[in-house]
Amino acid sequence: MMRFRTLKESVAAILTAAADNRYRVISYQDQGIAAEEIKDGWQTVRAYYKKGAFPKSACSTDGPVMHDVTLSLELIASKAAKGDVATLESDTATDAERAAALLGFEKATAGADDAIDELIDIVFNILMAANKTELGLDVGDIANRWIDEAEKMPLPRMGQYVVIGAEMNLSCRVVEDLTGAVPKAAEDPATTTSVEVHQPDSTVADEAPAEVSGGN
Amino acid sequence: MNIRETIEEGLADTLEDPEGYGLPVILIDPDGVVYGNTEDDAIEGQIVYETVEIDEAGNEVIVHAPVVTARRSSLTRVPEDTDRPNWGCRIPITPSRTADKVFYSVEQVSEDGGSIGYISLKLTRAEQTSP
Repeated sequence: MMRFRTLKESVAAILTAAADNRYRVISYQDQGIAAEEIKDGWQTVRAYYKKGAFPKSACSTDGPVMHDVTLSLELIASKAAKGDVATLESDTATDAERAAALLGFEKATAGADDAIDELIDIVFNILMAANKTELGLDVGDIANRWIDEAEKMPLPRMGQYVVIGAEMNLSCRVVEDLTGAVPKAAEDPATTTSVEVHQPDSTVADEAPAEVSGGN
Repeated sequence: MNIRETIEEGLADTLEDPEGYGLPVILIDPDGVVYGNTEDDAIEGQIVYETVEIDEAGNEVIVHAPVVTARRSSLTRVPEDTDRPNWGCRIPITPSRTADKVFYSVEQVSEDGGSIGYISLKLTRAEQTSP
């Protein structure tokens, strides 16, 4: 197994161990998630291999290959507007009480913006800590670990929730030892993908083409 | 009567008819004053409860995000976007005149129909803060 795959699993394990119920870790590139799944304290961090480069000048033709890996850390948070709903649904509340309740409303967008900032803060501090320079790999197998970018992405609101996301790029260089062997799929038959290769039927292919009669 | 006035008059059938699409709407302005809570002051409007949105992966998702459309001239005070988020709205939780009315905050005000007399309010369900 190439080392970038071990790296991805290791980063997910580090984030999971440090989560402390503040977020969930998903270590694959998922499709859309319903806003209800990630609201209020169930923010998600998705870590997946985004791209890699194999600089020829840093490699030898018959030795290990240097792999400049970029892992994408996709952070998503979701919030609903919050306030004193009970007062606003009450028939006995006074105008002043209702006005105060409306004024005290926390907008969903404000809550989501704070939540994603906090999540960036948490993830950056976990992965850039001085004791995580190897990100769980052996010394010498990884170098130049660095989070070089964080970018917030405005996402459409999903009904009653505002969903906001951010992406951080974690880059590093790992050493890939080439085995020459094709990676084998998982042994579990339930997860094994079978591929049927259709080849021309040899009996048909070997048959001589039918004679074509024509001409004199 | 010109064509805009004719359309505005037609809102009585298209938006406000209790036998048609009309549902009772209660508005709360930033000063806490309630409109539409009594028979004399009733506000009738059309409510679309679900809309189709596209999520970040490009999938179509049906989400609960009610939009209230009401005759502009039926409102004593007209919500403006600048007042956001300090307008509130109570609408029936289901499309029934007798259903319980629940509170939503007004997230966006659209006057796209202003020239023919209606206004749309995009609502967001709010959660109760813990005591």
